[in-house]
Amino acid sequence: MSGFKYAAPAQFYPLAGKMALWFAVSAAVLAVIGLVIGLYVAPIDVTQKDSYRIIYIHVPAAWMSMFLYVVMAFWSALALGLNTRLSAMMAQSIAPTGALMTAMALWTGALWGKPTWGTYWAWDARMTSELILLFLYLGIIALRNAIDDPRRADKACGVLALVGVVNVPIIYYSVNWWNTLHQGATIKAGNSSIDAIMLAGLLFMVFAFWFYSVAVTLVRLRTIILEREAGAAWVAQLAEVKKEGR
Amino acid sequence: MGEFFAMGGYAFFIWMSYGMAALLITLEIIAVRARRKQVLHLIRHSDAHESGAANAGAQLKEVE
Amino acid sequence: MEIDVTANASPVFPVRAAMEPGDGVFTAFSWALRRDLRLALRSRAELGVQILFYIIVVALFPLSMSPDKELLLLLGPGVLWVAALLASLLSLSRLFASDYADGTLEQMALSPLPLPALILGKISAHWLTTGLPVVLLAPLLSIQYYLEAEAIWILMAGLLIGTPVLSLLGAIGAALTLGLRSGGGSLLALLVLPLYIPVLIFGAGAVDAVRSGMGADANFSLLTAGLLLALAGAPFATSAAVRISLD
Repeated sequence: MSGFKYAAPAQFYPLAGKMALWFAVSAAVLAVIGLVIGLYVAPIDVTQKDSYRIIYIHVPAAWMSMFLYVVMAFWSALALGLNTRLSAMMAQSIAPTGALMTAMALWTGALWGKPTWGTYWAWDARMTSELILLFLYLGIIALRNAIDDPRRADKACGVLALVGVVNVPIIYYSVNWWNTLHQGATIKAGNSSIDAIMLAGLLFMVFAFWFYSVAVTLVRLRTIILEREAGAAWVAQLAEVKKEGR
Repeated sequence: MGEFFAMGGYAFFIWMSYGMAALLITLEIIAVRARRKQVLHLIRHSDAHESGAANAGAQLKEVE
Repeated sequence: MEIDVTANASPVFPVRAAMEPGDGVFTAFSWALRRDLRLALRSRAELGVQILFYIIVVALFPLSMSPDKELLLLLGPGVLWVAALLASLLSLSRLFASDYADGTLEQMALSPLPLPALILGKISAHWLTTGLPVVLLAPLLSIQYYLEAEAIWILMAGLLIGTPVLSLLGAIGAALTLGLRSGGGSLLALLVLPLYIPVLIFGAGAVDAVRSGMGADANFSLLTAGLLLALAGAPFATSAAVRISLD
């Protein structure tokens, strides 16, 4: 169980720093390649022309928004089940980035909707679910902010995240049901098959968003660890605490 | 070059999307770094070395 | 063990009543149910205000648009459902607040009786005093929206299955926000309303389904499935949340 020692915040703090740097650099490289392919190299879509290029940020953001919620719920479950502090802090640090990805998916979805559907907002099943997902994220963040005691906040947010993750599929199913009932077929974003180079650009962007999320979450986690462990001896020994500046 | 930015007439939608994405990510990075700096500053100046380190935690709580 | 039950909590907490595992569940459930019903009946005025809130919200919608019969027929079921959601939400803070303030909730958590059963009893009392009136008033308010007889029956049936789900899900949110100074009601709304959405969709959709000739069987099956899931999960999630808030 060599990985187990990293369950202690003091052990994980330096590792998280190294990992954050690695993921941030990788994300930047992937994003540059993905953007060059997506905005420049990839050809124009037959039906949607250039407007389809929003896909390179909309789809990664939408995927991350859902993926991060599940990851957050996973760490919450671990925190509640095993009573590990680090997992709870992990869940705490994921929530803001998850909310940001959700907001980005909504914004880009609306801007994609105008040229393709002719309207910024349609009560499309995916858009509506994304909106509800944003409410779920904001609920967790608001609950966290309302509770003074961090240990209680950890557990309360953990329960809420688990209740939420059980509900997400139900919400998606219900919205989908409602949508097909009232609007006939769901609006499809064009039926043109995706080109290999388009797919490559999309994959680069998905990994860029993923690695960015990991990096920013780890940096936030380090700050949370410092906050919670402010009194601990190991914090006082840190180079960044001892010397002024960075 | 101008043709690239025109995006076949979809410039508004494309650049509003990419611009907002860039803005949100920049703001998040700034916020995360600012918070880290603030926390480090508080730990340094809370006399954690002398008068009971728990003090630092209490002070952080107030700032939040 | 001496139990100090302050304020208006009566009868005395039945610590000695049940020690056998299987027996305790029902004792706990019925004790909590009867106690909360008695307390609710004692504060009838508050209950009346909540029901009035429901009635007023329903009456606001025609005033905000037009008394056009066709429009109201279309909107009626949805409006009644939204009003039911809000009425349920409004009464949620009452579910645990006074027991939390006078220490009864802590006694419950410490007692040998199973906490999920006690909580289910409290939730049932909450539904009987807030959900059931909403169901029973629905036909009367439906008249304001010119709903036809069949639609009224479907609406009532949907509310009958759906409103307990609202109480069950809402209890989790009420327990999580216990004793928080900031936010209070609005935080509870933010936590709970998104979870209410599937109930709203399946419930309010039932009348539409019947009108469009599809029948509401699927809606009722889904609502019932939701009720069973909520019954199986919510008491445990709520008792976990109560213990967290009492810590």
